Amino acid sequence: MRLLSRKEEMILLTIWRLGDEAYGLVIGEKVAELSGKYWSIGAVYDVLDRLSEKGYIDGRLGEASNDRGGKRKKYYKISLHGIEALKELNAVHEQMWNGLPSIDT
Amino acid sequence: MKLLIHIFDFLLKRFSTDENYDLIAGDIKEKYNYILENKGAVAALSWYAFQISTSAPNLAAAKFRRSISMLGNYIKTAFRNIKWHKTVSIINISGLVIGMAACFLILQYVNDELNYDKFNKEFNNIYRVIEKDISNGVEGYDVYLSGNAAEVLMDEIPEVKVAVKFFKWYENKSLKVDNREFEIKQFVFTNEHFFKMFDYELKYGSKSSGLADPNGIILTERISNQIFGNEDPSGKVLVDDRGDSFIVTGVIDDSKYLSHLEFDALVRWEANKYEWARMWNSSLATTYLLINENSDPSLLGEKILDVIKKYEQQSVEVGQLTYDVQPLSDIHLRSEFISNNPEVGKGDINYIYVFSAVAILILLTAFINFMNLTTANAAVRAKEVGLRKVIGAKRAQLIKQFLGESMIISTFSFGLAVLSLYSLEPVFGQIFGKVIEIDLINNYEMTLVFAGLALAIGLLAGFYPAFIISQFNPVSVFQNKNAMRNSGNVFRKFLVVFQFSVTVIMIISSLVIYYQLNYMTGKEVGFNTEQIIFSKVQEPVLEGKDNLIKGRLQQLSSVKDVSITNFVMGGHRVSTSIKKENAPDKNISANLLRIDNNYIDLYGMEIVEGRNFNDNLSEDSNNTILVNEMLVKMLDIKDPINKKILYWGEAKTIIGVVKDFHFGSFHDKIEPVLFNIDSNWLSYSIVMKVTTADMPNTLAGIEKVWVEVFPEAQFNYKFLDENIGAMYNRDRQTAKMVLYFAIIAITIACLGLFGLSSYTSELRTKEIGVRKVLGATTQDIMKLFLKEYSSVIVVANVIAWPVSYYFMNKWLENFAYRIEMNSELFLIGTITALVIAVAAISYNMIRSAWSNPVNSIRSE
Repeated sequence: MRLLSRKEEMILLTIWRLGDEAYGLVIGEKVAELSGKYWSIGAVYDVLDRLSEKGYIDGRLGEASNDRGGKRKKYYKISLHGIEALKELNAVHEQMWNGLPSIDT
Repeated sequence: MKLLIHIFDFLLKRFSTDENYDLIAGDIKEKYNYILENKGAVAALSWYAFQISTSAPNLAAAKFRRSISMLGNYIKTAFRNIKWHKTVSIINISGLVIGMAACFLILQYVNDELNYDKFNKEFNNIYRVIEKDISNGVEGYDVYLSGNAAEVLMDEIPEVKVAVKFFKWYENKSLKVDNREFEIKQFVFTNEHFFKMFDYELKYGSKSSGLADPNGIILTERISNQIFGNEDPSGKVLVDDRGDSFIVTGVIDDSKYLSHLEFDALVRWEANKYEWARMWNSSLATTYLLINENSDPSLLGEKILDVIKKYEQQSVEVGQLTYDVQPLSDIHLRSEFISNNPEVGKGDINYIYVFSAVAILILLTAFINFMNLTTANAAVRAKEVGLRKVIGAKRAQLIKQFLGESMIISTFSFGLAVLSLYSLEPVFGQIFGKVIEIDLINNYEMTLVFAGLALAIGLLAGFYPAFIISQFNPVSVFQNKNAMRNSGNVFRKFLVVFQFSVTVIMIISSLVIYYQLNYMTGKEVGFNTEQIIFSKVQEPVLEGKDNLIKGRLQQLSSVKDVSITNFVMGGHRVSTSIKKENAPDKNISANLLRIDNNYIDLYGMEIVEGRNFNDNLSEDSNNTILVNEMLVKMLDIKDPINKKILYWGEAKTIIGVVKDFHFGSFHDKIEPVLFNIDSNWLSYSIVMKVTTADMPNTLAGIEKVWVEVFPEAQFNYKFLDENIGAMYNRDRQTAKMVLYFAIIAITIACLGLFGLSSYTSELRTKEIGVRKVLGATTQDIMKLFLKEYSSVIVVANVIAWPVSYYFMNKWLENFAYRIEMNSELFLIGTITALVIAVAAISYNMIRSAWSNPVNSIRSE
């Protein structure tokens, strides 16, 4: 299985963090806030597309509102697959960092 | 304000996939409204603009990825469908492969034919000089000029930049190197300007020095390899039969060039040491002129005439000979009008038209199959389509899917067709009588044409079913399977009619050609052709040995008769202009045969009036001749015996009239012939009637005598019937090609019928089952099938008859002696087509008729 890319990891973690409230706009704002980097909406959706193609997240259509010009939201949730991918990435991380001399000099 | 938002929205829509658009637009709207409320319109708008511009690349990337994966999905489904509908797919693909391969092959052939001589950079400014003779009241064209003409034309006519002569030696020329002897078939004398006009590249040697040496010789690669192996032969010396030596100065790989010029070796005109061949009145060299770009070629004729008149004092009779020029690029295909054209029978523009038409028809039949089967199969697949629609497939998606499938099939077939072209290349040589090289890499224009055709077929064939099927109403599909049966039925029938017409036309055409060939080979030519062999001998070799060789050969028990003549049927003819003694103004051109007293008997010809030449030739003075009936008729002489006619400035007495015989091929009417015994020629043929019981011994005996009498000449015998048969090579080639392509067309049509019938039986399984339960017999079911196709076949025949009648009549007009097209031909054609059609559908017909109704009814 291919390892998650950095962007995918960030979005996945954000979705996890947001729990039931993870839809495009919120995910984008949260990930920008957490990472301190600018994320365009397009960039967020690009990653969301890829994650759902791979089956790491599941989408659920939410309610439409006037606020959104009558368009519906799509809430995302990590799937079991996604959790596994995160676990694997984490394991690789730990293995890579394990036993290294400290970088805080 | 609003406008800007609209523009942004539009951009967003362009960049994102349909699915994402709704979500993103919603998100943006939400945030936009938030900013609008809190920070005002400007901030909101600029935020929007910023979002769009930064999102665009990501969105586009996502969209692109999606479309790729969709494409992959289409391809996957398409392959799955191709696999599910195996019969139809196999029929489709094999039909297309055959059709494409045949079509590409013919196109390649046509392309080759059309590109003859165009490798010469200046081909547009190169012309061949043509002599026009109107002495018979009919125009006769000739391409041979004196070998001296080229230089004077170049000197005297200002717009002629370069003039090249091309004189092919009459016979094989033998060249010796270290005691090994080689026969050069096409030994050509030309001048040093050759490479200034014709852009051949030399493999060894250089164009500038190649013909600079008067003793230089340029060989083709084939000959060079034969003599010297693979090494560079430059500087090697070859010695000819006269003892003259030639130094090899260059090698040309002429197989690379599509050129009407044929040669094995090129030497300088100066090497031509034969007095007679250097005279002004020997017409033997074709002459080519490279003229200035801006000069008018139509004015050249008169200038050439003036120059020739100036140099060639005698023999040009005013008003009878004129000159004209023919563009180089016309020579290969448009030279049929030239009577002694060396290129005759090599190319013909009419065949190019015919074969192009055949190529298109074959491809069309294959295309029609493809389209028919796809539509027909689509009806079978109606349920699948219905289901897809029910679960939300859009029409555009279905169209894409069907188009995708047909594109995949056509691409796949294209690949297979190309492969089979490569692997079958050697076979084509046989079909076309010449090598057709398929080189898709270097010849990329053709590759593009082929690929374009394949793509077009895929698109067009997929288009119709795609639209028809995507229209299906899912509800009716599920309610009633037969609702789909009539979809596109009329159109499909029309296509089958067309396809079948083509098949019948091809069958009838092959039959007509075959009958005509048979007729020609079986028709009496008016003389003996069997058991006759001949061998050529040069005048200096024969000189004074006429009676010796005749006597010696006649002593052999295996030789029944011997005659010496200047002409053998099927060979090069000589004609001369003759006049009636008392009507000196009227010229008639007659073929001239130099014979002896044995000739008439040897050939079994018949003297209808008067007598043959006497056994003791001296009794017949030089002034006696024989003529054939046609000449008597054309001269309009009553009681021709002892009448006099004029030729070569002398009066000759007719002593006998020979019954007409077919002097040339059956393409031509019987021509006037004049026989004399005293004329002198450059070469003769010794014709022998032999017993064929023990041919090897007979030939060995003759050869022994031959070598004794002519130690310096070889005995290269040929059979007369082969020589005559060679006149029909072109026709035989045509017959072969038409036959092969007819078989291809028939195969494709059969595949189509087979496919259609399997579709019918599948669609009507239930109906047939019910019929059988209700008591229908096997015959009844078969009738059901036949009924469906019989009308189609009848209509196709009605169309095919007049069309093939028209075209074959045109073809037959090429022959002065030809068969009549009778109803028998058409009946045979139709019956053949019928039998083939029934055979094609019989498998499915019988399978349906024998099927157990229990199974078919239970099938739903």
